[in-house]
Amino acid sequence: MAAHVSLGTLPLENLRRKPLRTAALLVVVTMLTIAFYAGSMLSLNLDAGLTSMEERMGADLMVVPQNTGAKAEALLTNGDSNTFYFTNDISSMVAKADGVAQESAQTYISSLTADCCDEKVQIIGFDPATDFVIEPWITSQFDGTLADGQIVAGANINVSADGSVKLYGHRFPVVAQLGATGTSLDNSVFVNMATVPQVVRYSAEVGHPAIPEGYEDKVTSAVLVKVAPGYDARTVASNIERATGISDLGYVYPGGVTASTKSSLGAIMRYVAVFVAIFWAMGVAVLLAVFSATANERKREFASLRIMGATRGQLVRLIVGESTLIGAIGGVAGVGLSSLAILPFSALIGRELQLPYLQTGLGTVALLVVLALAFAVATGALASLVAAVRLSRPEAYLTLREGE
Amino acid sequence: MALLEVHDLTRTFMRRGRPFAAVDHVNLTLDAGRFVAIVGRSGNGKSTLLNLVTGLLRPTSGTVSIDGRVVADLDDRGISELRNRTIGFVTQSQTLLANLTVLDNVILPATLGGARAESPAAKEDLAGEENAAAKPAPEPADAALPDTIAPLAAPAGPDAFERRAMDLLERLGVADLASCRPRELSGGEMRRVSIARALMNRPKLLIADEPTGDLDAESTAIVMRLLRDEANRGAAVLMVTHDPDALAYADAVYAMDRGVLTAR
Repeated sequence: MAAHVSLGTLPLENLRRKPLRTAALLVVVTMLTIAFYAGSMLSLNLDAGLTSMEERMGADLMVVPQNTGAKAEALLTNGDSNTFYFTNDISSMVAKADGVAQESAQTYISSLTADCCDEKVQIIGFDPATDFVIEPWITSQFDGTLADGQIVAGANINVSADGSVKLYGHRFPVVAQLGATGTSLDNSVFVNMATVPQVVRYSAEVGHPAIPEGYEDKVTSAVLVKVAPGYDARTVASNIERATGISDLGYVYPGGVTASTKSSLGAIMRYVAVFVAIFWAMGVAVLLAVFSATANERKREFASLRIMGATRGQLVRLIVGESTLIGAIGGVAGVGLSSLAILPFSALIGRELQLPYLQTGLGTVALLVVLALAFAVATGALASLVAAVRLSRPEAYLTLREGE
Repeated sequence: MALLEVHDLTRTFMRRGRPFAAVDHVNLTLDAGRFVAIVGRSGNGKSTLLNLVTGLLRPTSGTVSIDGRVVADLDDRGISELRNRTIGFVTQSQTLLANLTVLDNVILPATLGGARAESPAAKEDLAGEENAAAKPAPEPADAALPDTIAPLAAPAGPDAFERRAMDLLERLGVADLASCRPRELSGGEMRRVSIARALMNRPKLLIADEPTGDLDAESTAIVMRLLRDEANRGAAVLMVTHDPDALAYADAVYAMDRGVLTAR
């Protein structure tokens, strides 16, 4: 039997027969969904990145060379890789300061974007014996001992098929790759302190010495400090200045970095929320105007359906059905386009934002997809409801007369 | 019992702040098989009366009963069902759905509200299918030839809805326009398609508001013969017209003047 048009199939038929109007409405709903879904996703990812960053920050204070505070902060958030270092035995001097409960030295070397290296990465040398920041995190994902010459790779590091990474012309075996943190640690490789001189030597061999000759065994980029109970990080910084006799040391307070990042993120998220709300209100206004204008054009059509025996409920379902279809199709398009733009480029977005950015899990994404679709459908339905009620009033003859 | 009983029906509107009765204490009885025409000048309440009868307008006072049911007592579902199953209404203005073809416009009343299994057109459809089922299965083309493909099922063809709709369009002389959209039709052609749509569900009460308004003499004769046939089939037909030629087909003629209905 041939399939005949019915009230059930009429919404689709009406949309098909008005391609321009349908396309315009779809564009509006798609844009609304993109704003809602992409905005929410970015906010969630930034929040996840911040949480991850907070979890990785075990130090109360970082002592760094003069004028390198910004570079050190970039290491903690999501900035570029850098090389900076002291040339004196800063670690033992810091250890003597009052209020220092625990201290551990780290060395930061940036590899190059050149033939000698697979990619530009941050090489972080740490001392597993004294470390209290990286080691607990690495141990949670790698239960072996990091031997000399081996590396542990961050989540975004491209490890070659043979399980190694080429740095300064030398292939370093990768013993483990860590989970994503949303910070620049994802673009880092970790070596023990004994490996640092090897790295420096290899860099000199390829003609790009990372650190001047003679200093490879004693360079320290930063001393991470855990302050003793009852001490404030800034007081301890003053104590370090006194103990070392160096007045122009740089100090980074990871708690402060977290707080300032949190504040930046909070501002971004508020902007996103305001943007989504304004965009949504404008979108709903446009949809309301379109459905309202359409309702005036369609008075005769709906009076005609009443004459044929359609109930008021059926008319409401017909109009809301059309807008729901628009909402559903626009919602799927919006979610699809946003997902294509965000999900595969999570690392790039993080780098561009220069903020901790961590892609949330599949469950959250799935929930957000459902929410975004519900949002799109509800927006479409809501926008048409006024028109639906106006068109389905009891005295259809008056509607018909108005439509003439 | 009469199919249509209008008792003391009044509908007032406000004009320039004053109430006026577009339909003023009208009484009318119409039996099945009868064809009644109403004449009168424009603006004297004829269309208002028809819309009150179909429940598309609510009366200020008085009652309308159709097939034993008081229209004002029915809820929205009940009155919609009455309009779909019992009443066929040809409106004065063009009310075809622009997005549908002529054929789909005519078929739509039969598919509305899941009424398929109970609508007259559907009953005919089911009867047709039963008849088809009772027929012996076609002989295989040649059972001895293994590479001969025997038909698995009867070829798809028009169903009862389509047959009914095409028959009506044929009788009204617009069958060749079945696949056209309303915007491709002339006013007269749209009028005839509207009549076909009103007749699709074999209504017991056919209401026509100036059904020959846009038609030439030949088309008027076709339409009026069809309406007469419907009355002869047993339907009650209530028609408003300005066309003197149409009156000859009616059993009785009433006049409406300033909302008051009187027999002529």
